Amino acid sequence: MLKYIARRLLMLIPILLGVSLVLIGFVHLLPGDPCASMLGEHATVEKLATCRHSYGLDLPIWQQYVDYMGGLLHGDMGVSTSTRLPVLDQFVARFPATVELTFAAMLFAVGAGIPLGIAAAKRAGSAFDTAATILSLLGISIPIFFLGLLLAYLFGVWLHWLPTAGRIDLHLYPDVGGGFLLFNSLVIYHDPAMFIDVVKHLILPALALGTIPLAYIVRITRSSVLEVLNEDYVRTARAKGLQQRRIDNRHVLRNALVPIVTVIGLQTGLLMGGAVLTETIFSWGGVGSWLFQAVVNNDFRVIESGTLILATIFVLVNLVVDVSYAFLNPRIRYS
Amino acid sequence: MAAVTAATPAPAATRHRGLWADAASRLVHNGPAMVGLVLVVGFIAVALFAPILAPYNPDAGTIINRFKPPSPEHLLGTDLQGRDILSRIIWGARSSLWVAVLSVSAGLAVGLVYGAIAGYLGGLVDFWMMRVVDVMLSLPGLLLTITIVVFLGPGLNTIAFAIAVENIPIFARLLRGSILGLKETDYVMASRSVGARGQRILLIHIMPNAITPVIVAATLALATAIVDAAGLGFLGFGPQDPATPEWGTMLTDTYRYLTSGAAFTAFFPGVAIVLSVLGFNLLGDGLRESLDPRLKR
Amino acid sequence: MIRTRFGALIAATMLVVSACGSSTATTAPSAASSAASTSAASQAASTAPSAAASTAPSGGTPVNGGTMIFGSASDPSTLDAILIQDGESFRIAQQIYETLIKLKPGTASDLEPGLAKSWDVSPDGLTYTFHLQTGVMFTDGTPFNADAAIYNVNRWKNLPEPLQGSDYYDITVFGGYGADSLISSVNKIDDSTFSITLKSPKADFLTAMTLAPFGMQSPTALQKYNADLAPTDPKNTYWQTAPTGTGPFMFKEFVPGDHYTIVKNPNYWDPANAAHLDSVVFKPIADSANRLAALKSGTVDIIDFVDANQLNDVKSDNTLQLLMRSPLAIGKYAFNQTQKPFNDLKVREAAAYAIDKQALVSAFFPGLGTVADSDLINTFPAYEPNQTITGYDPQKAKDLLASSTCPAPCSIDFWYPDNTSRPYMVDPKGEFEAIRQMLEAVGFKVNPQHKDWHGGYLTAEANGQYPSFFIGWIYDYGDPADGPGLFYATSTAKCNGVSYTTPHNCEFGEDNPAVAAAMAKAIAEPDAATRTQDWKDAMKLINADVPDVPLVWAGSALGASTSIHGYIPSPTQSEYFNLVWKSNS
Repeated sequence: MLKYIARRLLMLIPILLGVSLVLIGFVHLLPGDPCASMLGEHATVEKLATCRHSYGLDLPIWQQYVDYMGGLLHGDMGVSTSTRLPVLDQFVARFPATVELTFAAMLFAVGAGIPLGIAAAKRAGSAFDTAATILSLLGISIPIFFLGLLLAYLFGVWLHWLPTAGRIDLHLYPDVGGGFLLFNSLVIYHDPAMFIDVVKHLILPALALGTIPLAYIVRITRSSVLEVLNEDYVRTARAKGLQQRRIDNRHVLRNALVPIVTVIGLQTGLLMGGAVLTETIFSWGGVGSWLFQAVVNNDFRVIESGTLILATIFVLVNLVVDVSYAFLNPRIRYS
Repeated sequence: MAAVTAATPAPAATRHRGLWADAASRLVHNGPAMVGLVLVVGFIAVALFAPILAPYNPDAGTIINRFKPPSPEHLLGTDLQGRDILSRIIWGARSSLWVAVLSVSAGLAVGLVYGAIAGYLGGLVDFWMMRVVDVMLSLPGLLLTITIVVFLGPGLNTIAFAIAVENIPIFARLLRGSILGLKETDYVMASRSVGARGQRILLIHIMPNAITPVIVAATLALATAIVDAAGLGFLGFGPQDPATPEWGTMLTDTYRYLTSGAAFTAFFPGVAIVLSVLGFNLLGDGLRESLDPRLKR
Repeated sequence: MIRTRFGALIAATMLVVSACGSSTATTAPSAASSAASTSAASQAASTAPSAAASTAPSGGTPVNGGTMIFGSASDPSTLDAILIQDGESFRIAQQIYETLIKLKPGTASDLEPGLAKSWDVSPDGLTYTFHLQTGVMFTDGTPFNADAAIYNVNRWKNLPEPLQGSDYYDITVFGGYGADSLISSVNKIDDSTFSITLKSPKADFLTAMTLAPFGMQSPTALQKYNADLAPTDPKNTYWQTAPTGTGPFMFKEFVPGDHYTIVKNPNYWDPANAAHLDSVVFKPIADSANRLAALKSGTVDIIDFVDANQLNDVKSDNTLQLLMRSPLAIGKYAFNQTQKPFNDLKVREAAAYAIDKQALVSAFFPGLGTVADSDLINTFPAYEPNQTITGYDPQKAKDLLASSTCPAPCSIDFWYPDNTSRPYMVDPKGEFEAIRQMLEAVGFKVNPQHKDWHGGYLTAEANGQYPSFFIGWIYDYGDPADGPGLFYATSTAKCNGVSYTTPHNCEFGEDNPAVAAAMAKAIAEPDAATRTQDWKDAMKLINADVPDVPLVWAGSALGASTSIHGYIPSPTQSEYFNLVWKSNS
């Protein structure tokens, strides 16, 4: 097992090398000169040259790549050309927001998706099943920004039930800082009211972001449970007269979990980097909107380093998922 | 390791004609899938016959007539530029269909060739080809798409291309998985033992069976492409010519006026997106169930 | 200032005022500024419209306490005062730093004491002696005295090399660094008195000293947090962690992308003007519609640059109020006269007659703008009505086009920017589509062209690459020198990669020696009345060339909760939050 994990971690290296190559290639093909956008339209030729030199943009591309990778080895992820702050600091400042949003969205998706999927499977072919199918497909079919806007205007602007921007009520907590607010509110500040406020801010963006994973989880849970329900051993168990609930817990869910966990892992990985639209609508200071702005502003270092970090996370999440198979299903062995 | 995909090919697929005929009959009896089929056919028909169906020229209008609420004259009202929203939605179906078909067929073409080569050759070639796929898949999808669009400039073809790039690794991996699974099945072994040449094996025996999950995935990818294109429109990356009706852009252009009594201008394009995407999703899901009979009982 | 430009502002020095800022775009496109980026605050001369339109709520006794959340467009780009150029940074700097001299709230040019309680000017106009307030401390405990002030002035004069090029107002007001600076010497007279000596007279010097970039910063904090190292140096943590001034508010925390918090300075030196609010939080919300949604849902208390089309939305909500700023911006459809077919006057005239400005303004600027017929704002003394093509006359447009070198269908490239919203150009794409209809109705064939505002639009436009385009201007102060005096100035630089043998105007391709001479005469004229007449003459020459179609004179509006009181809007956006209080609601 450990050997397997070690080998998978080793595989990270070629993947990340590949990602970094793709990125640096892409970013340097992007139109526009980061220095021109930094210095403005009346920048002199000398100023531009100095600026390009200071970012190493005057070097051949392979040299830039080697220097960049050398910096990475020393933990230097470069400096943003638009904010002129170190990329790593900016990432660290925004990452907790992304993690909490992803966590909340997946909690919603898993918490609602698995029971719904099981219920649909058990009543396969019923009206309930059909309704669950159509609703979950509807969930995949609504563009996330459309859903987000509908939610924001309905529950925020018209009903005034829930906040539409940010992570916490800054009226009450103007200097709470950033970080993991869900965690900090309980563990550091021991303030349940603050925790509830953070949760209230999470609801709408999490609903918007969690709808697609929810739909996928309902679908996959339904089909895996259906499959397992008809396996011989479940029939046997039933024939033996085991209680239905015991069959559910012990046999069905456990065996159905492998594909479900796969989907959960895949979706978690996607959400970590794919929350651009949700973050934009709910002014959520996370990683997605940060990278989006970097692309628009031609902030090449942020694009490269930020995407590299996200790709690493994505691969690691997948590794965790693969390893978890062994615990879920002892028949799967890694060598 | 455990490669678990929802769409594993049916091992029972040894008799071709039987498989397709069975699938068709199952599909016809699948209610949601039929709803999907109707939506998809309707969507395609609207796109193809837009010039006949649209009551007005989608570009004609003047700002003096902006934001007229729905009326017998303008069934869905008029937009910011005083243009008929219904006509623009009808013409917008063309943009969506174009992006969807172009992106999926381009993604399919490249992905299929790539995946087939990797899966068939196997070994070290396969290993490294799949690592390249891993690289592509580990890049955050929407950001990659945006980067490509920024790089190539706005326009529907650019958007389709960017979405296609996102699709390639998905199709490649899918097809390779199918081929690997089938390569070892009895009938391929059998045809190899009687001396059929490699290419023949690939074309006649492996491909058709490997292709069923791809058909399902492609149908679902059409849905994703429409959603992605709309998302790009929302972020400001729409057609090069702003007069070209595109649903995502239509929604976005007016959403700043949402609370100024013009909510319908954003709402109807949104509904159009949802209905067409839902159609492809229902159909794709139904196809999956009918092509893999084990799923539906 | 602002359309984001570094310009030959120095040319305008003889006027009461000076500096101008550039927007977030050029130098520091900040992380979240795609949608509505803001203009910088700036300066205005006595000719500028005053804040007559102020609808600031007055009544009631101020209540102390509470937090105000300001829905801003983006994070600040820097808070090292001397480097500030964008509006979001200005807004925060005006609360935590104080200048030697201040603008009277709501006015565009009335001076009042700041950290200097009084000042004298030598008869030759070169030496300014400042008598400082006593007992003032920076919020880190460092005393503010002549030494601290001199430290700051010397930092402007000898801006550390790594920071050079990141500043804007410093170079614009003082013209250079070190020996090139307009500041010749700074002298301490006693602990609370010092003087600045200039190399040559500068009438707008005192007014320039009211600009937020010339706010006083704690020398201790500047040194301790390595503010003189390059802004990119990780050791320079000054503005993110410890920007330190004497103001009624002080820095509390900055969470990039999420919020920036300042809190009341409990030891403010002028208790009569101490802040009422406990804290102010700046919450970046990039999109203007989302900002309004946040205001309406109570997530934020006040937002800037409400879309004209959303004014009614704010008005009709009895928990909200509008705070109006009078127009100081001009939006226009402009031509480059060196590019075909706009080298033909008839084509430009045809376009001018084809545009129904009233329909455009009613659609996009209801309540915030009026139809413009000049590059000048109609409150300027040099403004004269009816000097440009004003009537909407499609038939005349058709006739002109037919007799031009580009008869219908006359194919033209028309550029508009993506991802921006400016007071004078609230919905560039929407406005483009509307004008396109009008142009095509008279025989033009419009090729839509667009580019990201931050991502090259301005650069290409300024270099003369666009035949016809949207552009606009927010005046720093009410003088034509700050508008046409810059637009139509000639340049010896390359235009669009082409070197011209004679000085040439890149942006509009205005290449009329008579115009250049008339403007030079006006800018050099010391007498106000004569100068006004000179500008009227120059504008006549300019308008005869039809270099653009002025579309709208635009103001701007803040939207606020009715619990916010004492907010005095200023045409130059010099707005002080210590006056603001929040009623318990």
